[in-house]
Amino acid sequence: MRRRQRAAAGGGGSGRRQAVAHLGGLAAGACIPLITAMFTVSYSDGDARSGELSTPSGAVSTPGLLVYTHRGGSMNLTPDLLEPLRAAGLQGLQLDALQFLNQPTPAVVQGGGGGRKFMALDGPGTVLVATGRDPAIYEYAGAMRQATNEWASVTTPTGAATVTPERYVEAVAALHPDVWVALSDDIPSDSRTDRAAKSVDRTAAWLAACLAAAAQQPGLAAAAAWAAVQGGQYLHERQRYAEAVAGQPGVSGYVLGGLGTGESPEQRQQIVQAVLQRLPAGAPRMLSSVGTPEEVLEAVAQGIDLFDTAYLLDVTNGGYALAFPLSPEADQAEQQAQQQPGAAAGAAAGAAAGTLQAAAGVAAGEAPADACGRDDSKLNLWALAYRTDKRPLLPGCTCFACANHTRAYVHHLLQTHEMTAQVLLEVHNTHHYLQFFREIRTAIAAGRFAAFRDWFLQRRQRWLVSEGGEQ
Amino acid sequence: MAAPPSPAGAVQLPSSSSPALKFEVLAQCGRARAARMTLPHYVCETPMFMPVGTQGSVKGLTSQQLEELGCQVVLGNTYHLENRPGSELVAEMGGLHSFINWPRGMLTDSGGFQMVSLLHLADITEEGVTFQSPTDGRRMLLTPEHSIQVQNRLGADIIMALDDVVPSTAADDARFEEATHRTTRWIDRCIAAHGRPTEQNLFAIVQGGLDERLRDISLKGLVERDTPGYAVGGLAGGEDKRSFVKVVSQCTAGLPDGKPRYVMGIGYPLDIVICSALGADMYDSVYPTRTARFGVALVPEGMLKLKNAQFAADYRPLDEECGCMVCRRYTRAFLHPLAAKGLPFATNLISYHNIAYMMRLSRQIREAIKEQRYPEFVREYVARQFPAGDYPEWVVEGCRLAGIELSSSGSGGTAAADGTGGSAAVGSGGGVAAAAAAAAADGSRQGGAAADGAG
Repeated sequence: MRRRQRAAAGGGGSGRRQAVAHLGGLAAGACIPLITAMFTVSYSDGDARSGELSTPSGAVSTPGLLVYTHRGGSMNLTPDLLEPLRAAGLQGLQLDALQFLNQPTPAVVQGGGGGRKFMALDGPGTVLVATGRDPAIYEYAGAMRQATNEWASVTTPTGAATVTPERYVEAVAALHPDVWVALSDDIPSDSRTDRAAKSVDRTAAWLAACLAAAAQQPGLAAAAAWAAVQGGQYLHERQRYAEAVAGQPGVSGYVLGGLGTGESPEQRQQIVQAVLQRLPAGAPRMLSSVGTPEEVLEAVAQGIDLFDTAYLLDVTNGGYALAFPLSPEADQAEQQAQQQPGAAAGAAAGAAAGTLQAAAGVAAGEAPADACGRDDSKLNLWALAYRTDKRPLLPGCTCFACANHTRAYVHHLLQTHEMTAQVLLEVHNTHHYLQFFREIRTAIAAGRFAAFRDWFLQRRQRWLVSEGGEQ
Repeated sequence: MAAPPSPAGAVQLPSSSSPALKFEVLAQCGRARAARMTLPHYVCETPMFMPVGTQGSVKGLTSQQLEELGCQVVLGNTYHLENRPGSELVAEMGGLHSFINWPRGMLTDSGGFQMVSLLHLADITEEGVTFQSPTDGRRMLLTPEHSIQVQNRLGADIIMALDDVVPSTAADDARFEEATHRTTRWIDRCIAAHGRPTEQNLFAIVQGGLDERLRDISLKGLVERDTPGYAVGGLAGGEDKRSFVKVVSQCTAGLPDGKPRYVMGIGYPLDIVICSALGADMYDSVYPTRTARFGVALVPEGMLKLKNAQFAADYRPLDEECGCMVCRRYTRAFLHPLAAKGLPFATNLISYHNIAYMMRLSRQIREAIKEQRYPEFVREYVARQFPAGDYPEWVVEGCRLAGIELSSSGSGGTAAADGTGGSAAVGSGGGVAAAAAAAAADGSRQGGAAADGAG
């Protein structure tokens, strides 16, 4: 079912849910004078939706990927390599505010002109979202030192620490983000029910404390505050919090927290569903620290708008290059090329007699070797299959790495432990994943998201079936 | 051989022409000279620093970044590349230029340096050197013929003769004597084995340790062979710096004026300034990028040990005179905690800046020579690194040999012992600096992996 809804600020939404989560509307009489982050849903397709989060720094198209950063930088990419990824759809970056409690301190960041300038992320069009969790490491600091009602127990780059809502907001404010997520009592999904209840109570109290502290921070005047929904695996706790926070003045978006911590996919689906039912439909919803392609598709199908994830980090560090086709059409073309290697290779090699056969032979001989170095979604560049492979990581890809370098070179860099390997892989993987999100948006806009999702999931099964069937 | 007349029209400037290399001195200033060197892949300007891509990449940087930075020649290392991925594979991939996608000049070292860096894995005889691979234990016999054959397959613009290199700190006169003569014997084998003389330039390497007599023997023997260019080897291995400048001075004086002179393994900025004063043209070292990975940025005053807590709230760029991408965007305060953790993002940025610094220094040296003000440039450079006027003896000596008078701007220009070259750490003050130095030393141990050891 597809409908197109164009929501205007303050437009005729009746009842409590408006398509635009415009804080000014919800927070009538609240002491927040300037609200500038605005979310618009343009297309719906089932529960999936596509729209745009606009902020003073620029817009993020949703469903969208907030690219992971660590202490203000990407893992391996200097700005001259990161910024061209805008063309591929890079719009927003995720920052973990807990990395700015000390080294550098909020005062140092502030002294450097605020995070945006200090981290040289002040180019136009870069939306910064500050959260309270690093998607790359879930070290549950509470296991060592339980949080209290006054402070959270967190892991920072300089070790375990405790942080109060006030101190957290100070760190957030120094970053000059466009969106910030309030401090929450983040617990793993296997926490006991009493712990989950405590987490919900604390998170509610800390949200209020964060909003109060933020009102005193000029740096956050133009920033949108989002609430993190906790409650562990218990649907009733999740719902309790979602209901409490749904109409909270000063909150314009929501993050599903505490996930990716060991819950099953079914559990996660239930939690997401239970929470989303109780949140304003027009508000942006982000899923934190969950983000493989399948997880993204599932969550988008449920109505999630934004993701932060360390998936690309894992893929890159493993020496992989993402290589799944981005559309059913590309998939089909790829399959045809595989079935008729001679035709494709021969066309490239020229029409001379004998060349065709030779090329076909090479291609046929190459296929099994190639298979050793890849699965259906990525290449393992450590594999010896790529020793002399002159192709780019992904033929047809326009990223910097694919435009300039070969699989053989990346393979060699990995084998010799050269740092440039990760540089090239991170460029490609980020580029490819941003394109994947773009395809998701396109599919939703065209009302064919369900088909897109089915195609992607079945593609993976096809691989398993055909491999098993042949051998 | 004809060189264009100098601007004054009076002096004929030296030049030379080989099948794959043309060298034209454009300006001379005392013993220093600025030249244009035309290689098959690039027209270079010397003096120049050449970053080292031991195994086919300058650590953390892309070939395209090196191009943006203005690098003219990048090094590769024969021994390491033969080990992984193997020169035959590189040849199959279209040569080293194509394999790493680097369109400009390349130079491959012969593997001789690994007789120093991997000495514990090397067995040296008249036939050649047998290395045990540091990665898988396989044995490789590197003879002059094999080294040249490998370098022919890699396809660099400049290839180096296999020389018998003795650590310059060794106290074994007989070994130096043997190595000097063997290097001369091996150059003939290298020349005979060279299969691509019209596409690649074989440089001979002067050896002889720190002994004037042996260096003389080596110089005479090699100059007779008339190779397209020459290198001074066996230095930058921890010898005392007074001996170092003496040897460089002796060798540059003994080598033909019309041919390029390459002092191997030189990467400390101050060393480059002094060697250029003595008439050297080319330098290479992993120093700028290796020191970057230890959190050290190169600046005109010396260096910044960014791990030092004193940079925690220092909002200046690394180098206020540098216009590189890193200096335009980032502050010392931002880089400090990241460098302290050795994050790849930060070390890549510092590497980028350090290469930019080396390129700028090379350019400044060339300009000063062309504008006939190189002595002033040297005096200013040294004064900036040693603001108290406590010039190291070797610097004074190097300048004296170059005919440059160092006005002792400070009080008694007496001799701090042999500095390590540009050790005027802006970031060293009091107890904090000691901690930073300890941290840096710690980093050195980790970073001293054999694979890193080109130079």
